[in-house]
Amino acid sequence: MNRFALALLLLGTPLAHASFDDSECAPSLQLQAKGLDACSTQAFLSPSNDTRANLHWLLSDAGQPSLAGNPEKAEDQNALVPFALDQLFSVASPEAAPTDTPTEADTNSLSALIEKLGMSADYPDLSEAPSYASGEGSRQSSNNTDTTATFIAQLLAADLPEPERKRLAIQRLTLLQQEHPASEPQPLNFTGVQSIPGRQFATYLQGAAAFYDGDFSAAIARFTELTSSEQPWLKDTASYMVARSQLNAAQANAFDEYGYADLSKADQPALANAEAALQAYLASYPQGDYALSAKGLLRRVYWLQQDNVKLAAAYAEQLAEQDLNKRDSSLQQLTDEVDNKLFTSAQGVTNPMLLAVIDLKNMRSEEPLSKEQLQAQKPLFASEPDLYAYLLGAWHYYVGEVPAEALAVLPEATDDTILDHLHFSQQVVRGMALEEDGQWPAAQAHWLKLFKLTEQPIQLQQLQLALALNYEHSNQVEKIFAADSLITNSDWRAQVLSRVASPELLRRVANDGKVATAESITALSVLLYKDLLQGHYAAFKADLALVPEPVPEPLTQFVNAQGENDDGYTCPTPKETAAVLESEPGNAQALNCLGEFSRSHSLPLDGSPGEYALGGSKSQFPGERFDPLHGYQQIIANEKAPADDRAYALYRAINCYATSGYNHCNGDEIDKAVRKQWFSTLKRQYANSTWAQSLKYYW
Amino acid sequence: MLGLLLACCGGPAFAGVDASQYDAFWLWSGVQPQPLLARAKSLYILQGQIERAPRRQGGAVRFLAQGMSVPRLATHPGEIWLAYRAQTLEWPPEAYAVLLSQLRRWQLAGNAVVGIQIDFDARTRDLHHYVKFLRELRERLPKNYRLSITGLLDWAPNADPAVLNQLVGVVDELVIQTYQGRHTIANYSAYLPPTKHLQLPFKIGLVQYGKWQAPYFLEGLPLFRGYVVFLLNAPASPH
Repeated sequence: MNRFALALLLLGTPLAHASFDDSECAPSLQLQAKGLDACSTQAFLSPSNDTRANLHWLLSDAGQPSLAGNPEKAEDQNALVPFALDQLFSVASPEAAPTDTPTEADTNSLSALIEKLGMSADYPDLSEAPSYASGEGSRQSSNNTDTTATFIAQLLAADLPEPERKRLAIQRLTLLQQEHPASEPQPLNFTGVQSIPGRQFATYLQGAAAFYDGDFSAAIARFTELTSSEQPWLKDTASYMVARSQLNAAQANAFDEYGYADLSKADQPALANAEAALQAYLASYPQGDYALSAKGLLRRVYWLQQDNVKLAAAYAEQLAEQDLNKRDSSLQQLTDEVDNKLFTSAQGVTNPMLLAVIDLKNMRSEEPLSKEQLQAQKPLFASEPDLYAYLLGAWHYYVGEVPAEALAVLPEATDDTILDHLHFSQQVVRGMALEEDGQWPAAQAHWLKLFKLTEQPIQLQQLQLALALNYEHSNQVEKIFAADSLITNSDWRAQVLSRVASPELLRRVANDGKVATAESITALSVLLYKDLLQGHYAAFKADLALVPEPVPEPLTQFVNAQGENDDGYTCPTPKETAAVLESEPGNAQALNCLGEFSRSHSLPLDGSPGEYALGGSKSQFPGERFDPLHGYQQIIANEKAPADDRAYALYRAINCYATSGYNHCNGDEIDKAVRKQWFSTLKRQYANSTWAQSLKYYW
Repeated sequence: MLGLLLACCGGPAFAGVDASQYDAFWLWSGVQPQPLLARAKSLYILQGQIERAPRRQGGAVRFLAQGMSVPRLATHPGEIWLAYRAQTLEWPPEAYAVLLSQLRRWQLAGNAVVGIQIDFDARTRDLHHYVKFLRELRERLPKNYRLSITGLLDWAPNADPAVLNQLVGVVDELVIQTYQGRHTIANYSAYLPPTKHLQLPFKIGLVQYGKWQAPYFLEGLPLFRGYVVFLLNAPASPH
């Protein structure tokens, strides 16, 4: 089967939370998947990474804060990579998430200002003032305690008669107090406001009220009046609000009742006005209070205009900006935004970094980027030849599937360059291409060499995975456990021991060193489990000698007698069960007891995670796993089996179908007539047994 | 290997859950519009997540916006619930303020909001804490709004019935989720018989394209109130 098709089936598995939640994924321990896997983000550029992850690696090469710099803050040091997407920003350099929810501090500064006005006892009830979730998209969210405090501070600074000042402040608080658009809007009352600055502040509030209530033409009219005000703050803010109102008006019909966008319904002439007004604002107020916001709003204009050229350029500029004070959004918000708004199409995108991210996404699509399309992009990568070489190599590996061509375009690493994310990615694809080309020893040497060319913990762990996979798939599993092995990740070593290791390897690791370690105990646990349940009874007895004294907790199950279970069936020690089965494979009690052991004990890591994942190759532990239901059936077929043992086997077999009528023991299809027969045999022949008496139904 | 569902043995076909056969849906972020939304009798629409920020970002509890902006569904025939995912039950006063504010905003835009749903994956041994939280939430919620909660599949069999019964009168419905992430839980049918003993109205939550075969007794239970389907964009990859 095509390796990418298979890999698609075996992507990392979301666990735990019922409703989808990326934060509790189990990553898939493999490198070469092409399909999107939000649970298994790789530390190299890959079509399987979310676009934001690929963007992150390129941004960090360009000097933005990198995940690679803070892995010591990761919760699980054994699971730095592959990692779930949401860790991308939780581990990287912290930029405090902005909150739109008013805190006590905000309200206190507003209260302080109100007190300065001498109004502390006398202002509207704010208990039902709107409050917003962080990131809640709504033009109303700028009607908050912060902006109210700013306005009132301006009132305090302006040359106004005291009663006018108070009147204006109360009107601003009235505006704050209600949700907008309000069902019963409280009209603003400017009685007594006669002075020129006072009337201007009043006009401003009328404009704001109209804006929040959705009457954009009225808002535009009011704010336009103030663009010639002598009050600097009013002039600045009104200029911005004209533009913002025009934008809101332009998009008013572009969203359906669910809020889904239909960009063809945006008002293009109005958008052109909004664009001009925003540019004019930025020209007049390059450091203005709203300059950053205006930049962000321009991106929205470009999106509504469906102008990818301008949009991509705007993102490229912001993403290159390293001064936090010059960005209107955090890096996380920005990458989410570019992901939502730009990455659907490459059209018009000329920035090499953004184009590369889009290309990688297209490589995993059902109609992937063609070689001709990629070749046509070459001029756009003139300033980034290494990035282009990577893309070509990735194309040949992931899409063209001719590894030799990938090897031809990807350079070999030189001995003295420390690798950044792009060059690390080139080398990882080289390694995978060598393996795909059948050059396993060359690939092994390649991975070993790369360990010396990086210092980043996340890349080193990635290389451990690559090397471990190489050992496993080139039939050299034991090298993972060699004394000088570079594969030190204890979780991954446990994966291999549990799923793949031969009895000889397990025995070696179990016996390694004088003192029992977690790993030697794991190895012995797996050895004894598979010895017992895969038919190696003599080996089981012999390997029990390796159990240290005092018996570690995970191994007690192999040593202690099983005793009487909840159904009243009693079993000896596993050693005794094994001894009986060695000479008498059909012994009913021993088969039942082996079944009991199997029902009540399992290996923490079992089964295959998929052919291409670590621990996914064919297990080197011979023998088939004991199937309890087959054991019961064997006993049931033996009419001479002791009464209690046969009765119990019937009871257990019938219970395989409880309570839903599906065989939850081994999935075999067994005719209902047969199950009925079990039931009547149990009830008829073994009527006195507790199991016949307690069992009321069959299924 | 557990939980293999067989095509044998009669009963309805096991083709994936076909959302068009149902009339109540969860609508999460990023789901493309589907025609069946227009005729839904109930829509549970995600609006936020209440969680604790990581320690390196201050560790405060924050209310993150999720899902769609306030829609204008005045002409929609169905009932609308606002759904919130809780990762913590330690809600500051601001969190309640935001939630109530969102309810007001939705009403003002003409949406027929009938209640809120809380999605909190309480372990059965922590259920009594959850009940305490829900009592407090119920107090703060205006009386005209109903309170729904999602529940894990293992509550009915494993939770202390005395504790589960404390939900009666506090919570108007319990929606038991038969899926994790985008896939039906293997062996889900084994968890269902104890729903016979539930004393509050309940629904069964399914995932679109997932698996479902109703146990024979379900439709006959007087407290069973039907299904809710979690909508996805496209068939999930096979498991």
